[in-house]
Amino acid sequence: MTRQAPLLLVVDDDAAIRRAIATELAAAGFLTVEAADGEEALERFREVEPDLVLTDLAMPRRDGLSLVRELRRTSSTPIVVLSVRGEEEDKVRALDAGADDYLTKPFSMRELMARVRAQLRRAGSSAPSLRRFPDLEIDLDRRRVLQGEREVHLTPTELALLDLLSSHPGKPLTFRQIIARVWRGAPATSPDTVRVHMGTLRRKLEPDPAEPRYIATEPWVGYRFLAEPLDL
Amino acid sequence: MHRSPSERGLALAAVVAAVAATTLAGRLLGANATTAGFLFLLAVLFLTLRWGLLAGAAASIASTLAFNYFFLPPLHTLSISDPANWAALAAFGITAIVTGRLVAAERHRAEEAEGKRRDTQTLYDLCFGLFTATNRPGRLDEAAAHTLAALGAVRGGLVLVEGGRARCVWTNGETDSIANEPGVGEAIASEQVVELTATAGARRQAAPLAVGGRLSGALVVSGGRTSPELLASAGRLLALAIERDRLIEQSTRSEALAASDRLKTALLRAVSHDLRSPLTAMAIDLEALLRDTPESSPDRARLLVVARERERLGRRVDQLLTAARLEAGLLHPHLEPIPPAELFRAARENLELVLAGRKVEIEIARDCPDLATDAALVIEALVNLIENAARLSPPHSDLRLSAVAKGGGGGGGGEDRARWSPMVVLEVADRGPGLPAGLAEQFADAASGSRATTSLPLPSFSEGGRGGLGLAIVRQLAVACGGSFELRDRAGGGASARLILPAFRPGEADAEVTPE
Repeated sequence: MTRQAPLLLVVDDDAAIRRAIATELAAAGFLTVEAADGEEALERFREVEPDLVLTDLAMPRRDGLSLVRELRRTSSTPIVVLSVRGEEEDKVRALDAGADDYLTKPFSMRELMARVRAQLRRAGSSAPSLRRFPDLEIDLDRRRVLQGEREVHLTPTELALLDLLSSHPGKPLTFRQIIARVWRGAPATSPDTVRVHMGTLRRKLEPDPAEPRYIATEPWVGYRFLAEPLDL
Repeated sequence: MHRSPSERGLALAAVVAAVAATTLAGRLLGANATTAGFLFLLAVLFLTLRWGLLAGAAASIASTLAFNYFFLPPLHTLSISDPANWAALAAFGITAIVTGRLVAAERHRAEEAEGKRRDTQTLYDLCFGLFTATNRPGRLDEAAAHTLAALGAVRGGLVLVEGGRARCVWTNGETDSIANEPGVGEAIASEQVVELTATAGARRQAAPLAVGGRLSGALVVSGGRTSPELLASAGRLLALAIERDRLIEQSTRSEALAASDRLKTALLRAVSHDLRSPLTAMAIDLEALLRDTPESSPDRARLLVVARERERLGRRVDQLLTAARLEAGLLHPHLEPIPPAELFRAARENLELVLAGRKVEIEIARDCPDLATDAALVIEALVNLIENAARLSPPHSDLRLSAVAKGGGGGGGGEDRARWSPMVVLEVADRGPGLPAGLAEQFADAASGSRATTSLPLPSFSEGGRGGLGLAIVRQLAVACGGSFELRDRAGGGASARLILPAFRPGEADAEVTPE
């Protein structure tokens, strides 16, 4: 199947939001399909095989969390969750279940576009072992991190954390996901362990602690790598 | 085996009658010495079986005498001519006593078994009564009365130790003063059955009630004929029943609380969703309209006003929902270390339109540690304060956000460190008109460290200016995160709002865990 523009499935029980998002996405050159609840979303998903799913969390019939779980059983299509405040725990659950990003309502369309583009760009591509970001170069084969001309010396844990974060630029990673990948789910590992190592990594990496450039804390969730990758 | 005096008399009469009857029967039948001996043995066995060991022993002696007197030559004397008859008499006597003892022992065992069976039956009935539907949970009086009835007693009382003091919770035919009776205290302290002073001829005992240190008390039993062992067991059963009732009550209460929390959470989520969804739709359309309206168009300024007001409405909704969550006790801070710079950045991102074109100065002290706080709550507080400052100060005056360490790690010695937890002060300073009279005092208590206070009265909406719901929520958010909030006039004009929040101390986390 060939398409001129990426196709996005917009799932929200609120018709006004659905229409507004769809209109804006269309104006930005995307194709859209709408669904009013989780069940309808599953049907549409099977029909049109979209390139990305935007979904609300609280919906009748099948909620967003359940939709994410169901989609992730068979598909790796990027999913961006739209939540409202007060749904923090559901949001974290959706991320753990396989959602790729979230936006808290009300959000700005500019931000939504940026997240959608980042997800589409990343979809299907695997991170290379040599990654370049503004003022930062990560060479995993040689286990070397350069900040400008200066080499940053990282412990194996810090390097593993940086590897994980920088391979998902812009994507929020939950503590559970970080522990699963970096600590291989070691049972004694707590979010505090992650925080301590993340703290030392940040001190070595961030040139100005008042203006974090690379790693942002996502309240309640975990961390997000901020820098945009430079094309090699 | 305790026998009353009248029973003892009856037993004695029976012994005399039986020995006399046997003698008479032997004489009338013309029985020889051997036959007579057997007849006397029968009498002894019968008496022992019926009246016990003492009667048997008495019968043995009386029979021996009667046997000698009436059946062993020379008759009618207590002397014996033939030495062989001495042996016969001795054999008779010994046989009578030994068989008597054997029979008595057997009888005793049977009685004991019967007693135990009765006790077991009593305890089983009690157990059944206390732990099945016939006993309504939570009814101490019914449980205690049931226990007394099972023990064959009518009068008694229940004493429970609550908050270190023994208190009489139920009585029947006893007075509340049993709570102070020394024997009852002794039973509670020693967890042993204690014999109390009898009243009106009725035996009184106190049985301890104890379940693993969680329950302590005593049951006073007056009347009835209960062994201490049975009483102790009954006490244990009653204690278990009371403990079970308490646990049922507790779990019912906590289930009700949890259900109410779930309901409140669901309600607030629904409200949150319903209020924020239209705001989201508005935001998206406004953004599109703004994008499509040229800078030169007179509509643009109007659209900007609408967009700004929509943002403001969104923040009011946030505030109201936060206030509702605080009020409902549903706000549970999620503390995590976060650098102050990230808090400032997130707060500013929330206020894009409000801060458009305004210079915001950010200063984070070099030695300022990260905070250990709920970022979402602190960002909300900062958004509130920055919005206030921006709204009340001249459009091009400077706004200053700063973070400095306070206490603990700042410069204090080791002792200070233990006494003062290190804090971080986040300050929002403006060049507005300063504080209205009285407002600083209103917030002074929060600054003086009354941390436990979470529900200070909210200033009314009508106060306007810097008062209103916003600042009260800011204070509550700070308190919820283990900090405080203070307002003061800024040197050189304007106001300074400060959130004083706990600093993150890395030593508290497990820094030693490393991956494979």
